[in-house]
Amino acid sequence: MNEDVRLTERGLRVLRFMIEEPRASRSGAEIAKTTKIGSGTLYPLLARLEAAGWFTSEWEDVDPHEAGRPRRRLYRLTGVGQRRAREALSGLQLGTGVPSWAT
Amino acid sequence: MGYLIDILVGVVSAIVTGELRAHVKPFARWIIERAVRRLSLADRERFREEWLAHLEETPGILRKIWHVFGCYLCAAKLSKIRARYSERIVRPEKVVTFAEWLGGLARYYASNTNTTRFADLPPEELTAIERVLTAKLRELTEDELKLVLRIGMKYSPTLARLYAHLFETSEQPKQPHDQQPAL
Repeated sequence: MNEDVRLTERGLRVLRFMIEEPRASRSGAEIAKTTKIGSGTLYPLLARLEAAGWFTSEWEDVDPHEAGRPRRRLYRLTGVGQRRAREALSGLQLGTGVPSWAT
Repeated sequence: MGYLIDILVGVVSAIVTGELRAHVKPFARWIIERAVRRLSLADRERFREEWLAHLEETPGILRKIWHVFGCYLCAAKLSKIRARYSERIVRPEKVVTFAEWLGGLARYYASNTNTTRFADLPPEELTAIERVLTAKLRELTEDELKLVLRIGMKYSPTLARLYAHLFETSEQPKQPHDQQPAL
């Protein structure tokens, strides 16, 4: 299922945010807030990345009745996703936020 | 006179803001519900909960409205992406296994009872079967569910009705009561 994904600038923004803490799980709301991408663009993008095997997602481990709110769906980079994200970002020198000549 | 207008404007804007605050959540939930209906059956529950959780985390009236309209507008696109994905992950063997199980169930009833049709079963047995069927049907993707229900239609008018209900189609088997299942 691991496939290439045509990445737009917004896709790169999401990857850049996710690669900062590659093992962290993030909700759609967190990603939207940080990357400033609206839900209308974000969810299809996450679906494509998930379908391509770059992201995986799971429900957060809370009881909605106890928490008094719906469960969040948490997205995380897969191993393949981490590698592909680094490749995509290094190609654009966006990966760490540090220009390549400074490292 | 000027200060009276200022007070009036203040009061009106406070009322309007209060009204908006009171109604934004039900309105946003309503939009999400409309958005979810544009998704495939298999995805509805997931995205309903995910988008509602996102709504809870979103501060401010305008942002909430922006979020739910975004969800509504992207639902059709999302549905296409997910459909392409589910086409790739449809596992025909799962459908075949379930169809065999359904056939086995029919055969069991044909050999152990005097009936060869689910519709002729006593109501309590039919209820038990439907409970098991429903549990199994929930495990399937929408494409798999369609296939299985098409197969199941031969055996059960209940499944035919379920198919018509779920997929909003008038497709019904021709006189299911008169047909003998191919056992």
